[in-house]
Amino acid sequence: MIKLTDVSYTYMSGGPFESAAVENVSVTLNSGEFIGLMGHTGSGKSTLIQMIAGLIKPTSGSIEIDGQVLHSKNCDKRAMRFKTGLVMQYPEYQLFEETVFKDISFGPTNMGLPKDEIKRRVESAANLVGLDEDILQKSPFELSGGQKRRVAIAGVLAMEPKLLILDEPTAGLDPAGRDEILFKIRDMHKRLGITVILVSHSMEDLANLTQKIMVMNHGRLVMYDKTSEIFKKTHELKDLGLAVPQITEICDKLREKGFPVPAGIYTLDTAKAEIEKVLKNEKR
Amino acid sequence: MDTNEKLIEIKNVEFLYESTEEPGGSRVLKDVSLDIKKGEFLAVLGHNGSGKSTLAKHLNAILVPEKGSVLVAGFLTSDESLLYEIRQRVGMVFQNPDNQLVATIVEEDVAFAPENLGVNPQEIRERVDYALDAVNMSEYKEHAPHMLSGGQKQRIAIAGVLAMKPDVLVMDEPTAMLDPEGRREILETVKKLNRDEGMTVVMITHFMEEAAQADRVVVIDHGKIIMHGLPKEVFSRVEEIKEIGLDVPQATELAYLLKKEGFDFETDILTADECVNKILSVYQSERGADND
Ligand SMILES: Nc1ncnc2c1ncn2[C@@H]1O[C@H](COP(=O)(O)OP(=O)(O)OP(=O)(O)O)[C@@H](O)[C@H]1O
Ligand SMILES: Nc1ncnc2c1ncn2[C@@H]1O[C@H](COP(=O)(O)OP(=O)(O)O)[C@@H](O)[C@H]1O
Ligand SMILES: [Mg+2]
Ligand SMILES: [Mg+2]
Repeated sequence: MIKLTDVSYTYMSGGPFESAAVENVSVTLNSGEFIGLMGHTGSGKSTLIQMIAGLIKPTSGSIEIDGQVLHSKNCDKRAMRFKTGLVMQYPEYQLFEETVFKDISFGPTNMGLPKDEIKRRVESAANLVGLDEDILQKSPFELSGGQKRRVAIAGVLAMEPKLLILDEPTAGLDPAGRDEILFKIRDMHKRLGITVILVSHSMEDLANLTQKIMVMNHGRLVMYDKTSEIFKKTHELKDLGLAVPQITEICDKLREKGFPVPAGIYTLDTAKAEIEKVLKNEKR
Repeated sequence: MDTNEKLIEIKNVEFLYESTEEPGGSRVLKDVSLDIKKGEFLAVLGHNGSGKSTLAKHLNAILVPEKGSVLVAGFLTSDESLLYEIRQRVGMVFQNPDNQLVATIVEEDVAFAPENLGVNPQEIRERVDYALDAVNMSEYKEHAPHMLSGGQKQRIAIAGVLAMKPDVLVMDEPTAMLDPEGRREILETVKKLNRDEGMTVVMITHFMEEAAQADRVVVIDHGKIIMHGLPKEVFSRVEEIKEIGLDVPQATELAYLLKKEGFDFETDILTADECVNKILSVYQSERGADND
C-alpha cells in the first residue's frame, strides 16, 4: 500500500523563482493495482512520482510504502531502492556504460545478484522491450533515439521491482514498439502481481491498461477513481486541457449529428463495435 | 514559385556508420533516392532504427554518403568547400531540444547561429525578432531557456533555426517529448511557415495524425524507402503499414475495419470529419434503403 498524506513539493523554496509543483496531495494506492496518472504539462506528475520513488523529499507531508515512511530514521533505504523502479521521463540521458548489456545490468549488479541471474535478467528484459541480442554488445551511443529509450526501460525492468513507475515511457517509440512494450508491462503486472503507476497522455492507452486513474491539475490531485468512472467525464477532462483521442472526437461528433453511439468511447475496438451495431440495425 | 523545382536531390545513397563496419554488416541506408521539391511539406515515417535520423543528417552534410550523392540547391554535400552554402540553406532541429539550446537567455540562443554565420548585428536583431514571433515566443525573449516547458524549449530550438533563414527546415521528431497540446502548437507553427513563408519542411514523426497533414509521406523500412506518395495513398495501404510496425490515423483504421465488415467504405479517409461524414452518409443510405 502507498499512502500519501498532505504531500507538497516546492522547487527552489525561498528563492525568487519559488513555485509549488505539488500541493497537498493525499491519496492511498492499493498494492497490485495498475494506476494511470494524467494531467497537462507542468501539472506536477513527474514531481509527484519522483517523490513516490524516493528520489526527492516532499517539502511537507509524508509518504508511506508498505508500512515504511520514506526518509524516516527507520526506513530501510536499500530495500526501498530495489523495491521501486522508476523509468524517468527522458531516460535515455541516464545511459552511460560502454555496452548496452552493461547498462541494463547496472541495477541487478548493484543488487548483488549472482552473475548467471544477472545474465538471465538482462536477456529477458531486452526481450521484453524488443531489443535484438546483437544490440547488447553495442555502445548505447551508437543507437537510434527509440533504441536508447528501450535500453533505458529494460534497465529498470531487469531489477524486477515490486512497484514499477513509468513516466511517459513510450515517447519516441514507433507504433508497434509502443503497443508491444505496454502489452508486456500489462502482462508483467498480471503475472507478477506488481503495482504499476503509468504517466501517459494517451487516453487510449490508459483506458486499455489501467484499473484506476489519478488526474492532476496545477499541482493538485483533482480526480482519483476507477478508470471507467474517470472516462465518463469527457467534459471535465477537456476543461482540464486534456486532449481526447481522434476516435473519441469521431464518436462525439457522430452523436451530435444524431447517430446513436454512447458517450465515453476511448478505444477503436469499442467504437467499431458500437458503430457496426447501429449500421447493422439499419440494414436489417 | 515553381513548385516542381527540386531543392534537394538524393541519388542512390548508401551509408554505413564506421564504428559498426564489420564483414557482412548491413548498411543503414540502402540505395535511397528521393527528390524534395521547393515549398513542399514532407513527412518521414519508419520504425525505430530504420534510418530516419541518419537520412536527415545527410540533408545538411552532418553525414555524407558512402556511395551516391546528395545535392542541396545544386551543391554537392560531399564537397567540404560547399559546407557553408549547404548549412545556411538547411536548418536542422534535432530529436531533443536540450542538445540544441546553448545560451542562458532565449534571444541570445536564437542569435547564436546567425552570429556564427557572420550576419551583421542589425540584421541579427531583425532575424531574432522575426523568428521568435514566428513561433509565438516573443514575450519570453529575456527568459532562461532551461526554465521553459518542453514545448516552449522546442519552439526556441525551431526559432534558432529560423533565424538562419534556411530554405529547408528539417525536424527530427520535433514533438516526441510534448503533450498533445504542445504537439498541436508545434504542428500549427510549422504548417504556417510552410504555407505563408513557402518554407520547405521535412518532418520525421511517429504520430500518424501529424504525417496525415503533410503534402507527401515517405516510409523507410530497414534503410530503404518502401513507400511514398500522398498521405491518402500511403495510409490506404493499411495492412502493409501495420506489417512493418507502423500505424494509420484512427479515422483511417475505423473506416478500414468497417469496410472489412462489408460496409461501403473507402480507406482514403484521414481526418475525423471525413470519417464522420462517411459514416453518416452510409447510415442515411442504409436508412433510405429501408424505406424502399
Ligand atoms: N552514431 C552511430 N554509430 C553507429 N551506429 C549508429 C549511430 N547512430 C545510429 N546508428 C544505427 O543506425 C541505424 C539507424 O539509426 P537512426 O538513428 O537513423 O534511426 P531512426 O530511424 O532515426 O530511429 P528512431 O525512430 O529510433 O529515432 C540503427 O540501427 C542505429 O543503431
Ligand atoms: N527542476 C526544476 N526546477 C524548477 N522548477 C521545476 C523543476 N522541475 C519541474 N519544475 C516545475 O514544477 C512544475 C511541475 O512540473 P512537473 O512535475 O515536471 O510536471 P509534469 O510532469 O506534470 O509535466 C512545473 O511548473 C515546472 O515548471
Ligand atoms: Mg513530466
Ligand atoms: Mg531518430
